[in-house]
Amino acid sequence: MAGILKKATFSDLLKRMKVTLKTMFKPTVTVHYPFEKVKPRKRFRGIHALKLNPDGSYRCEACYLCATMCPSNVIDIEMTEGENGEKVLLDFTVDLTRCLFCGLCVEACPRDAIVMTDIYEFSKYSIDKLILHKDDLMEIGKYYQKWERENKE
Amino acid sequence: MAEKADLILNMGPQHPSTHGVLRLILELKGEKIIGADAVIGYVHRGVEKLAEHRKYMQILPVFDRVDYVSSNSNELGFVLAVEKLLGIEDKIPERAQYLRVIMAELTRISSHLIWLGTHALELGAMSVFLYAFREREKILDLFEEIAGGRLHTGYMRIGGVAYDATEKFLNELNEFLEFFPSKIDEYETLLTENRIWKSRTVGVGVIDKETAINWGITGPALRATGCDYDVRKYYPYCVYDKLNFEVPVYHNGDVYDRYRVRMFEMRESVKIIKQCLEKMPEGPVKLEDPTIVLPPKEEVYNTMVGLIHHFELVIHGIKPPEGEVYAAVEGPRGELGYYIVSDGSDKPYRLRIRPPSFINIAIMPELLKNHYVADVIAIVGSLDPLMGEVDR
Repeated sequence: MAGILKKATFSDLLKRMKVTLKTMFKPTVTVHYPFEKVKPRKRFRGIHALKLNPDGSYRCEACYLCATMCPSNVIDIEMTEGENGEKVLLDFTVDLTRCLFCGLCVEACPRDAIVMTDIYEFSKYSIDKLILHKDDLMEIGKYYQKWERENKE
Repeated sequence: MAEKADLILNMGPQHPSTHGVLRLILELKGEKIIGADAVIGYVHRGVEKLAEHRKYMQILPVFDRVDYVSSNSNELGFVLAVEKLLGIEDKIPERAQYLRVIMAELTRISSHLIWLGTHALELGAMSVFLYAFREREKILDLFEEIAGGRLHTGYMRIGGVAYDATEKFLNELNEFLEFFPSKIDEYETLLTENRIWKSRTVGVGVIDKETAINWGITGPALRATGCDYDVRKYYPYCVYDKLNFEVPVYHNGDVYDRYRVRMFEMRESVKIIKQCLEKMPEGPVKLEDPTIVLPPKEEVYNTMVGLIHHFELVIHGIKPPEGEVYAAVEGPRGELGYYIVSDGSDKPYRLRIRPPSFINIAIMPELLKNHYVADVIAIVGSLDPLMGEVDR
């Protein structure tokens, strides 16, 4: 009898309507991208950057460890011998079309030269612009070092 | 004699309710299915072959992508297999073990939330989908805080985990565990006693215990049939033997029971994480062995020994002894196993994954027979196949 009454009055339905109605008046949890943006967390792995020494030279010493560690051959380094027999970085290429953003290159770097920034918007109109060279990485590196100074604990 | 079909219907691979690119060829007699065939292989990426050409450390990010909604379970399974091969499974720091369990259980919750949302959406309950994804977002934020990645976390390492938990992570996790059980109640209010939900799920796609065992089904689909097999209980790994939790078992084996098993599992996962947070000791999160784990960065920057070990390990990789191992974890979809054959070099000679969804959907053609077309969606959804894992 109680069961029939329950079915006829739709009391269970009202219980569920209460849940949805309550949620209607709660503040929204969505973010209106691209007008609002969520700030990535500190450990977030965005696109790569090359850090610079205080004198403006590259911190990278062309040891090839990041290129060795990379699971999908993203990194390509060109190196030559300088006047005093030291290694000179000719070009440093990061192919973002293949990158997995796993962060193993950062882990492999023995000089803290390659880092991953918090930049996650890097879509381009052509593929060749997704292949970052030495100078592009340096520009991002300047941005990163500024970010790093601001976010120091 | 086989009945002749009136109509042959191709469902998928672009059908929105097939959870990816599953293609079903249905032989119909009116509204009734008299024969079915599953066509798979649309997202085959050759993950097992890729693994043969990568060093042990490099394989991890690739396995994140096998089952892309539960990447931590995948990583954990692989890491455990390699550690077994190296014979260091007892030496892993305890804090790392607890962090692994926390991440694996959070992954289980987030995977079940995706399943709940999409499954309910396919059966017509739109609001559950929105609510489930709202809570899942919180878990992804937690992953981002501790590991840096939201979906492909890359958190496990051979010999420990990548980073220690931050204070912020622990606080946010506690907050999440406080409010999440009330959200499960909310979903259950919307679905469990819902008349429409019950009439779509009760008695649909029944698998009995014996058939399930014969087909090798594992995970929630098996536990809904009355069998209590769970890798966490039968072959405990990490610290599961020190934790107190229940394995939900229901006996009807239909779509509704699979739903109830998963809801119960989410509650149990919350309990497991709470216990982990209580019991987690302080200490290192990585093994201190320069032939297996990269030395800490301070050592690499400042000492010669650290730098040499770092170069040696990155260039030559981890070299486990010759042999073969099998290690399994209880992923969100069932027993997820890794079988590695090593020839003593820095790359696996052969690596085979036991993907739970691949084995679970094998029963589908048998299961779909004598059901109506509308039930196909309920049955496919309840087995929760993930095509990235099926095709690998």
